[in-house]
Order: sequence, then structure tokens, then C-alpha cells
Amino acid sequence: MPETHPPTECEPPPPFEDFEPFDPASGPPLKLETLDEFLQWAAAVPVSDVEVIRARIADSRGDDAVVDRLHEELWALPLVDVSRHRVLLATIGELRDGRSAGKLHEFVWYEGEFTPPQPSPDESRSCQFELDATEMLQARAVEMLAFLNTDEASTATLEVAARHPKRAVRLAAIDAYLFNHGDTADAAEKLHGLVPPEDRSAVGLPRRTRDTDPQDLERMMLAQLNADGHDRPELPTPGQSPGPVSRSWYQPGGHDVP
Amino acid sequence: MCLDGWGTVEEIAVHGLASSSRQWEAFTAWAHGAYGLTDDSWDPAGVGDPNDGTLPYGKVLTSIFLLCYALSDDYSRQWHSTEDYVSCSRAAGNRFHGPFYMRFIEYDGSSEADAETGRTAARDRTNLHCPLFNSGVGSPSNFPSHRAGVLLHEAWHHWQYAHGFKTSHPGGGSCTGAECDWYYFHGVGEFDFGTLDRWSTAGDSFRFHSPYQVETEFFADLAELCRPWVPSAVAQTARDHGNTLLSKYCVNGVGYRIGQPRPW
Repeated sequence: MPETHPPTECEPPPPFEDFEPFDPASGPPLKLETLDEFLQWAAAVPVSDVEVIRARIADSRGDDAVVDRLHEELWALPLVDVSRHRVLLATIGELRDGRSAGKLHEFVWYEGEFTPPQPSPDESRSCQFELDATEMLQARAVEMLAFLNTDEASTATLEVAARHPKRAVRLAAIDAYLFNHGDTADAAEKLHGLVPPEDRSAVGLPRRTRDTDPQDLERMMLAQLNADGHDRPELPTPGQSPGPVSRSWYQPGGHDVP
Repeated sequence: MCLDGWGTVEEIAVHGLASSSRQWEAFTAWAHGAYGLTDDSWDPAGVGDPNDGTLPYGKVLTSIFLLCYALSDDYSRQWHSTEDYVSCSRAAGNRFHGPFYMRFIEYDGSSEADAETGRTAARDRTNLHCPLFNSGVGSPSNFPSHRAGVLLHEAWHHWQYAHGFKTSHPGGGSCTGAECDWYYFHGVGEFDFGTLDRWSTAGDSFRFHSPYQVETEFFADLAELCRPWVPSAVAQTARDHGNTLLSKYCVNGVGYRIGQPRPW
């Protein structure tokens, strides 16, 4: 029998062995009686296979009973699982049922807390994080509101971008409105005229996705930083370091590789 | 007291997948030492059973699994490599920091974690608190993806200490609103894989990271550049948490958003 040793503290993690392929036929349909099971299944579907979720939802379009139940679930408060609500919101958005506009609008403007009271901040501790479940879910809800892409939903999204008291929600509304209007100059101009002055620099922020060219992202970021006069970061105390090494393909300032 | 249980559909999805992987047993044996989960504070938190994903010990292992295996290591697009994130967040002394260990603290407040650096005649440590694990109360923090980001964030405080920088946030002790950290934007290409630990404070070649920035860059990589098997709930949480940090937690404005605002 070979002698085994416990791993040492400097060893790299064991090599990754890939999982069995995902079965696209797995999981339930989106029906009244399978809603819980569907939400749990959708949360676990691999990112490479989310088209299966879209197709499963498309099969349930027009099923008013399902839409009504999703709206009821949205307001089943206090909610105890934020990630289940994220899947719920995404399902409502993907269904693109016009009746959801009012429900999502109400959800975004709700002034109470969706979750039970959280412990109060402890000033003596260094990293509070202070993530706010209500704010994060309202930001996600306004994205789904904009995704409905009806006149009513677009008007409601603009209202959120202009007047919502929470910054993360306003910025989500700005981005979602632009996305659902083709990122056009007209849409950006409309937003510029509506949003609070402190949010104008957030109109037209680049999106960093799996398809984004990193040189383009850098070019847009630098252009925006220079144009908007953002606060320059406070400099840390100078230290001694040889500095990072650039990647082989890198050209400073986001310039194209010749 | 902490509230044990799954708590989120994301927790169930990731732990179910991770614990079914062929390398799970070897991985948990490795992670126990590599991440310094060796303190007896873990004894009542499930240390004997890595397969129990409802207890803090199993939950931390699930998060470390994401750190170690979830990224695609896209050399053209990812902010930093898996090796960077793992070396930074693990407990052994290396190019990022000196050695530390991780403790589990039963605690009733709202703080998720803190890093204790420069301790006298004792090893430095990272303390993980109940809000990272609480189930059934709508916790915004009880997610494998979020905990992974927190491990990195706290490890970056150890980096700050090891390299002679202040370990506090600009707002002082706690971090409220937009006083959490400066964001020192850099192009993707400016840090080669394997050089996250480096910095430069010299004029035109200025390069630097703050704790929230490292955490945000990890969330952005996890949301958009993860491996195909990663559960969709992980990518959604990483995107939401990353955009929240970009919207609210930086002293200076940060000019990008993570992902597209669509359902999936």
C-alpha cells in the first residue's frame, strides 16, 4: 500500500476533474404545482445551459395562473432566501408578461424591508460589508421591469432612474433602460435630462461581459475618467515594488495592437 | 448564535455539485490546511463533516471550492488568474502575506469578517462571523460566491499589512456608504497572471488594489468568465454583489458595470 502524507500548506489544490455533462431534459416544467422545484432547478442549471431555462419559461408563456403565482411569491414577506428571489425575479422578467410591470414597479418602490431585521452595525468591527438585501433585489427588479420592454415599463424605469432614493437601484435603472433601448444616443440623452446630477456620469457606462474586448473597455474607462473629472484615488504610502508585469498582448491606454 | 441550515438555493446548488465531484475528498483535506481551518473554533461548526453543507465549516469549503475551480482563466479578459486569487486567499505565508489562520466566531452583530494583523507574539488571523452563514433570515451574505469574495477581501488586508500599507478603510474602522475603499482602475492587461501581489506607486506606472477592489474584480470574473459548469445562481449573485460594490462602496466613481441587465 503506498504511503500517504497529509497535504502540505504550500501545495496547490488537487487538479480539477470535470463534471458529468448537464442533462438538458432534467428538471420540471414551469407549472403552478412545480414552481418551487423549478426555481431550485433553475438556480443549479450551469451557465453554459441557461438557454434551457429560457426555453422552459417560453413554454409557460400565456399561463396566467403561473404569472399570478409568481406575483404572489414576490410578495411572500419576509423573504428568507435572497437567491430564490433572484431566480423568481429573473423568471418574471423572462416571461415578459405585461401585467408584471405594475407588480415590479410596486416592488421597486416598496419602502419597507423585504427581509427580517438584520443585526445592527457594530462600529468596532472593520468589515461590515452592509449589503442590503432589499436594495439589491430592488436593483434586480428594475432590470426585469425594463426587460419587459413595454411603454408602461419604460416610463416606470425612467421614473426609477430619476427619483429612486437608493443609488444602486437608480444606476441599475439607467443601465437597464439603455440596454433595452439599444444603447442609442437618444436614450442616453433622455436619461441625461432626467437623472440627478451626481448620476450623470453613470449614463452609458461600459458593460464588462464575457465578450468585452479588454482594450476597448480600458479605452472607454479612461475616456470616461478623463471626461467626467472623477475623484482621483488617494495615493497610498509609497512602497518598494518592481510593479506588475504587463501581458504579452498589452498596449498602454487601450490602444489597438498594430 | 449562528443560524444553521442551507438558507439559499445557491448554497444547495454549489455544495451539491462540489461534494459530488471526484476530487472532493482530496480537496477538503487540502483546503483544511491550506486555508488554516485548524483552530478549535471550528469544532462546533462541523469540522468533522465536510459533507454537511449546512454548517459553517462545510459552507467555507464550498466557497473555497469556487475560488479554486470556478474561473475559466481567460488570459485575454479575466482581471486576475485563479492562482492569484487562491494564493492571495489561502493562509500559508507567500508572496501576498505572512501566515495566518481562520477562526469561526459566534457573534450576534452585523460584521461578516475581520482581519487581525500585526498581533504580538501570535499568528495573524481572519475571523469569520455568523452573518456569512446565517440561514432563514434573508441574509444578503449567506452565499458561497459572496463568502469567497469576503475571503479575498480579508486576505487583502493581510497583503496591506505585509507590504507596509494601512489596513483600515478610508472611513476608519467600519465602512459605511461610499467610504469603503478607493478603486484604482487598471487595464486588464496591466497585471499579468501571477502578478496580482505587485504594485507601483510611481507616477505614470501607478498600479494598486484596495480590498473592495480585489473583491469586486473577483465577482466580475466569476459572473462573466466562470467555467461552463458553474450554477447560474452563482453568476447572478456575483454580478449583483459586484455591481452593488461598484455603485456604492467606492469613494471615487467607477466607470463600468458587470454583465448585461437581462434575466439570464
